[in-house]
Amino acid sequence: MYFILILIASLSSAPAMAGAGGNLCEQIFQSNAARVEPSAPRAMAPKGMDIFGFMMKLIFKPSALVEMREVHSESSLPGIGDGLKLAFLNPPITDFSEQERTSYRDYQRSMKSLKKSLDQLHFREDMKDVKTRQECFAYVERSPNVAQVLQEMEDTINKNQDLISKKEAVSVSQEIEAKERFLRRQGWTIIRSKNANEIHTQIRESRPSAVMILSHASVDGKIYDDELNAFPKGFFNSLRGYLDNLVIYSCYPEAVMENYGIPALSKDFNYFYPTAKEKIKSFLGEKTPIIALKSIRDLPLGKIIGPRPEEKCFMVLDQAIPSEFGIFLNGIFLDSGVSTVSFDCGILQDSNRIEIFSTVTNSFRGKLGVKQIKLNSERVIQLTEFSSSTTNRHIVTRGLFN
Amino acid sequence: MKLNKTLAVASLCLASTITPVKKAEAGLLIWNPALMLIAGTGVVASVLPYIVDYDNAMDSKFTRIMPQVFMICGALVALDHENDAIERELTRNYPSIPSYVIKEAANTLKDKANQVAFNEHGLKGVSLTDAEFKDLEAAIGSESDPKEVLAFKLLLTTPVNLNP
Repeated sequence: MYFILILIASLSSAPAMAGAGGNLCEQIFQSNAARVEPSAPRAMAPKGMDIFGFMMKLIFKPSALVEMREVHSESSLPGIGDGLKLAFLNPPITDFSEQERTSYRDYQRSMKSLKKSLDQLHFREDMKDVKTRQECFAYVERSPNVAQVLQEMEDTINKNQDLISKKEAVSVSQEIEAKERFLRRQGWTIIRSKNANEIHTQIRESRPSAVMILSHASVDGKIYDDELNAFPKGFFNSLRGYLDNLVIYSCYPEAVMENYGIPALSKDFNYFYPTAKEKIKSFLGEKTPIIALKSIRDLPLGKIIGPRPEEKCFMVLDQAIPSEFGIFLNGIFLDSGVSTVSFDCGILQDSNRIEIFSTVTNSFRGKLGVKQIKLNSERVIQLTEFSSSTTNRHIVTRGLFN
Repeated sequence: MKLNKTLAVASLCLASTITPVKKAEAGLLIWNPALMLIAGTGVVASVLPYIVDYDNAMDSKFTRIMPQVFMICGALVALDHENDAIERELTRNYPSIPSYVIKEAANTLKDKANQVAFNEHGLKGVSLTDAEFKDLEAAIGSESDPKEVLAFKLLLTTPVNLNP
């Protein structure tokens, strides 16, 4: 049965399909294969108690959908006392305009009417007997009316793609808004509408005990700020010593840990991440619903004791850079929008690489103009700027030294 | 239904049972709280199979299950993001190439793609010129794997044949 659900869901929310009938058959074949072949992995909807448990949790205790796991620092003692807890809620605040709301309602009405047309054509009953892709193609071929309705569905979805995406963003925004009170009650100070560079600066300036980043994540383990710019690699390395606990509440938590090299930083802060509970992993996979945010309640936050990394080294640029530019040393994000940067001397290696580049989507055009950096008031390192000759876009300003 | 709405409904029911009016006037046929609980359980128990049993739903009960299914889908807003496919694939296949080069390559390809029309099969193909790649190559630096750089160049500068 669930292949039909997947199908309708895919028709309702998936991106454009190239050839409604063809993609329809792909969807059904995959799902149906999973249904008739016991050994095949199931995409979703396992039967029996799994579904029951999932439903019960979803309705009565959504926080039980996920559990928080911890990479515990050996230098951590329990409790943070009155320490500051900053929660950066990154997905942007989004709402429909009155016109968009009306258009979305119209879209929903059109889809409803098309689904009704499919019902009238006995689409569901006919599809019950489809067992192979070939049978599916044959069915679509001999049912021109069904194919036409599917094509209309595809066209409607394609036409309203922006609205559908915006609806998703609005839902996320509303869900987050609904959780703000809970976070405040838990002692978190809520911060919204900051890009990655600003978040980095704020953490370094306020030295909180705990930081939570609630963020979208992509399958390759990148997390995103409110402008949907990916946090650069090495973002958290230079925050060692500035916080005791880091919580990243996002999808694809394992990939996020790998991408940002979190395990190697676990000496310097406790790390917490969500993961779907084993019994319902088949539903959620690596996705983390916002509705389960209350699972962060009672996290065993701690205080890091012992020596912390000290920032005794520093570099001075011959001019300040715009705030959208980050300064990286050996791939570690040091700071943005400044002319003087202090950092832990341990980042320096036998051969070193300085890079300055834009960490936001709208790339800078023209010359950045930074030509040299003075390291520890001792050495002057010459930098070279690289731009695209065709688009005049700045690519990177970089320099190497031993 | 959200928990607070459920609680609100429950509170209203409870309030109406203890309000000093005739139960019939309040429109309540079952007024004993214990009976209400049993009746409520009965209602939930009779609806639940349609929610949880997808095979039942298949047997022409599809229409009844859909609101619940969509309620679930709507309730589950996840924090996943589909990032730029070109950047993602280039990063995955050429891990030693710096992120800013990948980003510039992706941006250039998209700029060029915007100036090309789709063919009759709904496809379009773009590639970089040697001069365009030279800008990128200069920014790559010596720390990247030379074999990867070569493969990266080959991929980006080879014209795409859309009619094999």
